[in-house]
Amino acid sequence: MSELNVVIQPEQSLDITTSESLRIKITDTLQRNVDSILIDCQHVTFMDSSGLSAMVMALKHAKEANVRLALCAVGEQAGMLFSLTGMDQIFEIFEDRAAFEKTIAQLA
Amino acid sequence: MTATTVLEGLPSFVGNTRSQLKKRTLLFRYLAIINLSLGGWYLIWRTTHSINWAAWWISLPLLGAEIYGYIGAVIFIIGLWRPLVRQVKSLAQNVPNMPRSQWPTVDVFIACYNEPAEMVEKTARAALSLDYPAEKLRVYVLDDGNAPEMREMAEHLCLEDLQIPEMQSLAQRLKAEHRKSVAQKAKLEDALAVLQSKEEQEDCSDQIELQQIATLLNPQQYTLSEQVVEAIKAIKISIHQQGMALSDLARCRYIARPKPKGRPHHAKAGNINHAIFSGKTTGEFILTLDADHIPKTQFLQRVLPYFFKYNLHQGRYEANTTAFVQTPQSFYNLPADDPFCHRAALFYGPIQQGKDGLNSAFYTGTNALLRREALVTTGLQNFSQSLAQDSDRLSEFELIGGLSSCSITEDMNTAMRLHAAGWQSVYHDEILAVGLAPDDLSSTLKQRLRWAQGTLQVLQTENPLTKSGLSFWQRLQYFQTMYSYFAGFPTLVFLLCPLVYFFAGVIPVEAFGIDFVIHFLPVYLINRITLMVVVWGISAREIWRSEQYGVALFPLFIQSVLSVFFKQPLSFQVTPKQRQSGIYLKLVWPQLTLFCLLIVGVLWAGLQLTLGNISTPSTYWVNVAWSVYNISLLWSIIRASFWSPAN
Repeated sequence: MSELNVVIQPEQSLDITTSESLRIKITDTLQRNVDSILIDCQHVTFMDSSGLSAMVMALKHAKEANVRLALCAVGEQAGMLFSLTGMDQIFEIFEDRAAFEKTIAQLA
Repeated sequence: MTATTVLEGLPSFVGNTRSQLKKRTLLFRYLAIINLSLGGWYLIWRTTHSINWAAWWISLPLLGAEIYGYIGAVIFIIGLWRPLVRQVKSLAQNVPNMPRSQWPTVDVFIACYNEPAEMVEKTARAALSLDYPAEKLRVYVLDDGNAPEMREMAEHLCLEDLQIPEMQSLAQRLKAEHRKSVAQKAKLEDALAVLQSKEEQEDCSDQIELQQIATLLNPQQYTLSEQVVEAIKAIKISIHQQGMALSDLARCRYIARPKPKGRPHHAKAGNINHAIFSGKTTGEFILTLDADHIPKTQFLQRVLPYFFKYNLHQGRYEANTTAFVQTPQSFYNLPADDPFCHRAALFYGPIQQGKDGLNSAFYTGTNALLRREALVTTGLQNFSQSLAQDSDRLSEFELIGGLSSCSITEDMNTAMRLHAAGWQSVYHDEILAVGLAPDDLSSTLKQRLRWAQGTLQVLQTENPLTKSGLSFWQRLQYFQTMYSYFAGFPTLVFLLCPLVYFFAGVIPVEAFGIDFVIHFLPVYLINRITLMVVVWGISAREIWRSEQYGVALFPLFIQSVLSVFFKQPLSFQVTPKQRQSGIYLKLVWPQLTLFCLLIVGVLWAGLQLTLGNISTPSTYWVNVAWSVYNISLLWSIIRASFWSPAN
């Protein structure tokens, strides 16, 4: 992927103890003048509401910086949490990186 | 008084919490049924036999007022149908024992705005002294007023707290673990060097033996040196975490959120939500305290067991679906006769217990422990709904994504949303924190107005009768509180009726004679007896005070209904925690006016009676009795307007 489209891949568990570092990583990335950020969740084994709220905060910062934020490869447990909270309507969620890259190509 | 559930030694029941129907509930239910039936019979008679059609302009409103009262009584009694008394075993005494390593982390949020730093300091000190492992407790002063003295106080307290023996030994422990880990890492690195040099020597027989041992230890990894490399990686992570923990020991922290001009701040809800989403707080449970509410040391021990259930088949404790546990508010500065009716023994007693029995205990903003997961998940659910309607709200996510910000009584609305999302609530009737009650009329009225307006705001924006997710009983409970705030109108009618008789000779009822007495008296008596059973254990003086204020606040109730439903902007008026001295007769002019008119009316009509101008004296005496009752109700708030601590 080009410099302008960054992928962040959080590991293991996105809960109250680890979500803050994800949010910091994203806000740091936003400082670097990127076009889009993709959060690849293929290694995320567990997400709770704190992890989800960190993502919403990240989305807020991204919107303010005019950067596109999307997710891909969301696991089953996380997927359930997204639909329970209605957040699946708020985020762009893709099957995998390829699906996201296709949309980049279409927009280009 | 509120029943305490702290017992000598362990309570003798299986499990860690128990709930039972309050004593005398069955008696109450019998009386309630009789009460409601008699009330219904009385109303039917009233409607069919006693309306004075000639004076419909007063008799119909009076009938309407009585019907309002009857419906209110029905809902109120249903609300008390199943009052629960709960008992709990302190967390450290839970059976089977919950290992301390499994105890959850707790954040104490002390929300303040313009209170003096000394007041908040007392609360924060008490919070730091809670009986709980030091490394699992954090206290956050959420200063919405951004006062330098508050920050200074918090920092000072933080440093002081780090010096206490428990924190010192915690620090020693962490340092020792850190040293051990560093030493272990050094040993592993030495071993790695030895292994790698051995591998380079290509001594085959040694190699094979080492390889076999390595495979025994961990079938998935090949060589011993690779396993050592993994172990070093793991210990590096431990060392990093231990380093973080050591630098992160501070327990008392200060958070003053940025409040940019021109953007809504969402008052207390915004303050607490900011703390939740800022990334600075991580406790699994949140104890919300008002600035003046000082918790007792056993607070967490008494309340945490409600959040876990023991899975017998798996042999461990698990989280249950309880979202919050509410404990009573109690005040340490109440004068003996409670002139401002703050004691609320009825609410933090039979009413909350009744709500609890129907899974609708109210969260009242302070002295409650909340499960963070429940709060945030429900907050996100509601947030995504509001975002679907207005995508701009994303920019204020951290102010509105947790506690509800739709009403100036954010606590009640939040509880309603939690209930609608399927979470359970618990009311634990044990005084675990004490606070300050406003001791002047102006502050008291401000507080009551906020409760009234906030509750009606919720009725307007999130009607519990139609909100999806609530059970029938929950709908009734929430609606009951809202319904009660319309009582200002019927109360006004009740107060005016005697006046109409005294000055215009008009009676709203066909006959105030024997017929009426036969119908009215039994209903009234059963009503009082039922009430006596409900409030058993609460002093008569307190009950009388509640009754007085239920009537004397009628202008406030009317004002709240009009201001909410005529869409006037409502501001969150923080209740002052310090006495605003003064004489507030101006605030009670409606009550004072009626008070005087009633006295004049009794005397004037008495004059008419002696002059022989009244044909049915019994009617006069009935109205006098009614007036005496009304006068004694109104006197409470008039007295409160010029009350001062010296009295």
